[in-house]
Amino acid sequence: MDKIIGFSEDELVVKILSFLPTKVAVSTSVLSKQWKNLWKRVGKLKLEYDDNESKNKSLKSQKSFRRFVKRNRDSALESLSLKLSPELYEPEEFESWVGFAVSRGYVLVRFPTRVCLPSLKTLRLRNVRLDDDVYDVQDVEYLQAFLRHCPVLENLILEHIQGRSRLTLEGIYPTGYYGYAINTPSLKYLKVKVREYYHFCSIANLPKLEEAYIDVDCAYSYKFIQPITSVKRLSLCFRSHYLKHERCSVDPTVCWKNELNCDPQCFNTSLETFKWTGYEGRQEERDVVTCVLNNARCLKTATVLTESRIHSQTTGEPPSKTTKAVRERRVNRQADQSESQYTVRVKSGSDDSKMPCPGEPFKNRTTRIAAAQ
Amino acid sequence: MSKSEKKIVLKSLDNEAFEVEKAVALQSQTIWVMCEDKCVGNEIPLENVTGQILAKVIDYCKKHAVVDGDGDESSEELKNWDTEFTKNMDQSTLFNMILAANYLNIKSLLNLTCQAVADKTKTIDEFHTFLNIENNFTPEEEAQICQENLWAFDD
Repeated sequence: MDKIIGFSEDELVVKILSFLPTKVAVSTSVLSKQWKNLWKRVGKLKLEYDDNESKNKSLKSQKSFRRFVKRNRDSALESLSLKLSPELYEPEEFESWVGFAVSRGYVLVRFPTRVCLPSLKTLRLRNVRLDDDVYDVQDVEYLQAFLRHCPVLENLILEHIQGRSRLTLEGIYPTGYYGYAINTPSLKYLKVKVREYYHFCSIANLPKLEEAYIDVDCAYSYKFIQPITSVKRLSLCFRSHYLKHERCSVDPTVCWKNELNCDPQCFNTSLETFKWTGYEGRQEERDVVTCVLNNARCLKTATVLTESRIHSQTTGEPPSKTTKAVRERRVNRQADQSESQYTVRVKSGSDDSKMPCPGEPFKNRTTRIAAAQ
Repeated sequence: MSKSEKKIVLKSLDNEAFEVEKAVALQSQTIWVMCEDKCVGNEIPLENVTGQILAKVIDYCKKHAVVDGDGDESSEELKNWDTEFTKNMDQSTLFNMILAANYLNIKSLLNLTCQAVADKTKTIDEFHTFLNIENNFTPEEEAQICQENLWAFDD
């Protein structure tokens, strides 16, 4: 066959390499001195690793893959896909890459924090082994340490395939921001424990969720609570440390159908300020407020805000921030903790004149709350 | 515009002449620039492309040209045609097509042929063979490269 001449232009070679599977592209480094580093100029390397493809010498390939990623941590990566079989590894070996430690049914995810992947946009981890349908978001801290070295990461996807539930953790990370979303259609138990502030977080699509434990900064607790529509057992733990500084709001679309189980200990020891915006007074909402008021022994101020568009409807103007009438009502719990009685004080907005008699509906509600105790 | 003005003659390295519609030839940015410069007549010499390759390039350009009354080719049909077009080309032809597409600056053809090579070239030996690459590493150097990129050589 004719030999081809004319492929002296690196650009053309890089172009061909960009269409090759990354592994093949990298293997061209042994062709000649000219080719040695050409593959590094391919702007969209896709690193894939699968234990199942190399079962017999998995540890060896895992080592070589890790060494490769370490050595080329500055290369432009388009994607990184890991399919790991944890049982094949020595603990420390595995941990240095992606560590999954199972404790009390929680899955610990550890990521290599020294690997910098400046171009990585999508990270997908499959075959994550979970011993239970539990995910402790606190472990996201490990993930975060790793993600700080992935400044342009847009999609983070964790998929659990082997067990009963499928857990997907997806995050959208604009540069300099951190956050996450949980979209897990078959998740049954969710435990959320977060101590840091996330710029972005959302939880959605949890139709099978039965039990939830929410222990979060109240500034964005509503993002966790809102989608938990069918949960049977709900434990809430709002941190007073944050409550002192942050606004606690609960979305009005919350609808708990079943038993609400507040975690008395959390409220006992920590909750000092409780504020709910968008309160509509439905039974579920009253249950939550009742629960909070019942159990929060350190509670100093509980504020419940209802929203009304009556004013704007009357004047025919479109709802806006300025015309939207907000009635604020404040329930002050007396410092005397032995008392189970609440002082209700109504704080009206400045343009309340066109609204129905402020305070009246709320008084009824608080009566019901008190009765529910 | 007279008939002759709409036609253009492409002359290959081995002096084979191809008369084609201007709209077909102008998909090549290189030819387009040549025509714009008016430094050539109706005959354009293409010194880097053989007649055999040029014929195939012209086939491609004819298929992809948007000419009067011929603009309703569906993209799927075109895609299938592309696949068939490169399917039976041997590696030598493919590489020459890449060089021609690059020289003539026909972006879509360059992508198509590079993809086809990537689809067909699987081993280092094939690269050596088809690209005429001389291994200028010492055995020690080669061993070191292999070690550095060991992952790529795992099977």
